[in-house]
Amino acid sequence: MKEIGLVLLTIIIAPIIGGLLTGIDRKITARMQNRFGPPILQPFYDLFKLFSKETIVVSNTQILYAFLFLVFNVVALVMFVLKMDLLLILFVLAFAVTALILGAMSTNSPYSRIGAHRELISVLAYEPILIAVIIGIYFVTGSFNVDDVIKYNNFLIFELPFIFIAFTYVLTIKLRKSPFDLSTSHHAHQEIVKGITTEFAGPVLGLIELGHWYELVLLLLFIGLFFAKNIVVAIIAMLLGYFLEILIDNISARLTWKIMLRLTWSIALGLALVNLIWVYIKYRLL
Amino acid sequence: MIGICYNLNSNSLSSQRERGNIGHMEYIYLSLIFIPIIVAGLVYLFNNSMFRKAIVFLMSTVLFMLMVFAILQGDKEVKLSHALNFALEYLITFADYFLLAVIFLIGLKLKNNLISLLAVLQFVLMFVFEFRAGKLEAENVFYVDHLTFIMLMLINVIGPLISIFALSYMDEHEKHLHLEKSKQNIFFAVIMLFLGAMNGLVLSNNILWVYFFWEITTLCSFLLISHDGNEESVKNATRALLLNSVGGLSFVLGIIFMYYKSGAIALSEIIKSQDSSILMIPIAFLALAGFTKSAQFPFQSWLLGAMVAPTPVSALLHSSTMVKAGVYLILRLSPVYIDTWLSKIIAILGAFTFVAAALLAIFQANAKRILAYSTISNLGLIIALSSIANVYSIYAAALLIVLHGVSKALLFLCVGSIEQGIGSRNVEDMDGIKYRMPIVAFLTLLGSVSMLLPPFGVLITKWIAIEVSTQNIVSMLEIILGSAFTVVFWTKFIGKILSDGKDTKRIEVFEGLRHLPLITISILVILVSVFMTQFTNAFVVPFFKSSFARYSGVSSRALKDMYIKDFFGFNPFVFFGILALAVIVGIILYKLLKPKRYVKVYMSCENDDNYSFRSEKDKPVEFEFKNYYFDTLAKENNITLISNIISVALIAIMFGVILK
Repeated sequence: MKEIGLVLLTIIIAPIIGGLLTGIDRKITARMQNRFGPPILQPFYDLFKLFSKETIVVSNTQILYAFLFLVFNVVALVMFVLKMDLLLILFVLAFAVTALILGAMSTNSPYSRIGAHRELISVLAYEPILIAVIIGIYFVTGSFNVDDVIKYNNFLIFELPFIFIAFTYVLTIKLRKSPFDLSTSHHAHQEIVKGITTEFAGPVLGLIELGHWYELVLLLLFIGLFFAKNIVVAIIAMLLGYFLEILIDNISARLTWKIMLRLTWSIALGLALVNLIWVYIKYRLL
Repeated sequence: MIGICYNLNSNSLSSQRERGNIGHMEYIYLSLIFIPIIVAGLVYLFNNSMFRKAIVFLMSTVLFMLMVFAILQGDKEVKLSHALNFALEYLITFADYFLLAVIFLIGLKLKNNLISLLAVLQFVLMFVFEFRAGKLEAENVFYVDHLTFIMLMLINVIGPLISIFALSYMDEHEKHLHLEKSKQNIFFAVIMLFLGAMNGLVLSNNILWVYFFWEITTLCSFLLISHDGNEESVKNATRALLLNSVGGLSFVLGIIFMYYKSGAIALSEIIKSQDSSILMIPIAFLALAGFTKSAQFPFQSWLLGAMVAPTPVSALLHSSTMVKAGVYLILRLSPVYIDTWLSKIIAILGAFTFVAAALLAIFQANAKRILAYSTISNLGLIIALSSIANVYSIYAAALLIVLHGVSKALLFLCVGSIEQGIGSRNVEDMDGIKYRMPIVAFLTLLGSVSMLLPPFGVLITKWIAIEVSTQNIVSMLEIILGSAFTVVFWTKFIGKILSDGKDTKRIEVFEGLRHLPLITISILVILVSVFMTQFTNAFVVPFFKSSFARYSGVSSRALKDMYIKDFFGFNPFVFFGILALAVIVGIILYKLLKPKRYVKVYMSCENDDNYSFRSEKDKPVEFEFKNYYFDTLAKENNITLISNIISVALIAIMFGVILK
């Protein structure tokens, strides 16, 4: 019974937090660009407006993919809250993205297809690193379960500093922030129109937006895992991490997919590997 | 999490292994081997379409019933009566030499001296060995345990279904080729012979018999790849025969070393052997034979070439059954070598194939090649899982054999149907296939989703693979990278199946003979994943109990009560429940959001339809968008070359480690 309550609470509260964070993001971004910026509640106004619009589509299966994107994101977040297996959560999260990619590829629009392929390249870049992060956590705590990771009696960040850096690195890709906002971007400087979401409109786009909010909350919770010993520290770390992403977003220009792939697979994967090897030796061999 | 308990102790399947000759099980096993072989003869002699259809259906039913009966009888080690044993022993020994002679002659005919040389080597080694060793009989002719059942199910359910599909497929295929005289009698005879040989391979206890059936499957594979008789198919068939002959030679060496190291010639004795360290050399040779049969790097090229064969061949031999013989052998021998240095290196080798094949699959535009690379990749994962010393690892290996076999059979048959429908196997031509061939497109979608997405079983085995591979950091890294590549190539493939195309005219009509086997297999795909826990408890856990009894990690008491509730908290029922719920909600949502208006794609408002834009003087220019193949980033040939070099190096390391 308690679990069902928790699940419902998550499903209701997460988008509120996600929407607020997005609003704050837009405000901070605007201030960094010397603009006044929209009100913090603007994302909610946008979402309500999207849902009040007429449903127009290019191909009727698009609704399904947008819905699946939302569902997989919600399921992943709920699994996290229920303290299940981290790897399984990661897989579910990966398939949320897959649904979005398939949705974009299902139409014949070149913009959305390019966006879809760029998103696929992003998956290729960040997926191994996310798994490496979780394996690093496993080596230290001896468990893949969120439950045991939270109970670990030290800050994980001390054991996994490089892996944390690698994680924040791929978080930029995952949140589609500059310099890795290849598949779609919130800013006006977009060379492939709106990329992966070009052909989504109205309530269907609303579903995707909602999915993004759940995704955002889940990804920030991953940051929190590294500081899970103390909940206050964890929340501060999550907010700081998010601010860092916004800062990076605003001070960097977009890179090409090749550079992204090379950089991620060398720098981020390298960092993660170094850290992995030392915790492997420390906790498995010694 | 709701745990569905399924206690084995109350289940008849866990009854004590029955020894000796109780009942007449040997006739069931013999029928499983010889009925298909006799049918092969009949099909060959009577080249008549009606007769063929009738006998294929009849045989499918009989095989299925025999298989069910064999499974119901539980684990057995069966002796034959003296006379029967004597006769079979001679029959198989002479048939073996005859087979090698045939391969020798094929080598001569193909002007490929290497094949002939390998056949001669095998012949001579075998002959000298049997001459010197004298009586090489296993006391119990058949060794049947739950791994055998898993293989039997794959062979005798998927095999006949594919044969039934082939009935309509081959008619169409020959129509395209404009043959004067139908060659279908040869085709079906070889398929039936192959089914019998596979049954023999998994039932036999005497490793010499296993080798004999192993060689028959090699020959069948050669005959089927070269079936169309054109230049390319003969060339690829030659390569398949050559690489598999290398495996055959390795098998012979393995047998000889095995005999001189331990005196054992029966699988049942080998896997119960107490001192595993002296068996490392023969195991390494047998594992190498397994690598060739399962098309592991650097032997992968024969399987890719084998894709020229008619699609039912790709589905039956080169994805769901024959290539599984290699992993079957490795999993069968796994209790002997697990938790040694050899197992660590085999795990690294298998995981290397997993990542290299998945990477190469990204570069492919040919649907059959994508599936072939995916097959190689999954076989690599099975081998890696068989070699990691963990209970769940062995479970996942056995499960993946079934899950992959079923899904891949479906996928190959679907791609074959698409190829016959649109005349191309290039994924770039598959835009709009969901309108043109809706049934097959939907089944292809199901097949590929079952290879990639939760809650289907293949993903669960991959998940288990990552979790257990943390014991072996090198193979862990390979599996991590491989699973990222897997997501990419499958998403590309599924994206193409689901994308809109210009041509939306339906060209598919429902044909019972073609679509019913496909639908049956797709139902199996779903069932295996939904009842994965129950399946594990009924088949995989008993296999573990009987084969890995001496495996140090589990006490005999724990072994007795062993069964699984779920996979690390993943319960298929719950997740399939969520999926079903999501589908229902999705349908309701679809009704609510029902598109009121369809619009054109966005092309800066310079387009009149979805497939062109207005150029100068408003002249429409068609555009098309192709998948990314990353060929600007790296060259496919270079990756193949590097992968081959690395895998050869790893095999060298494998032999280096065991030679003291």
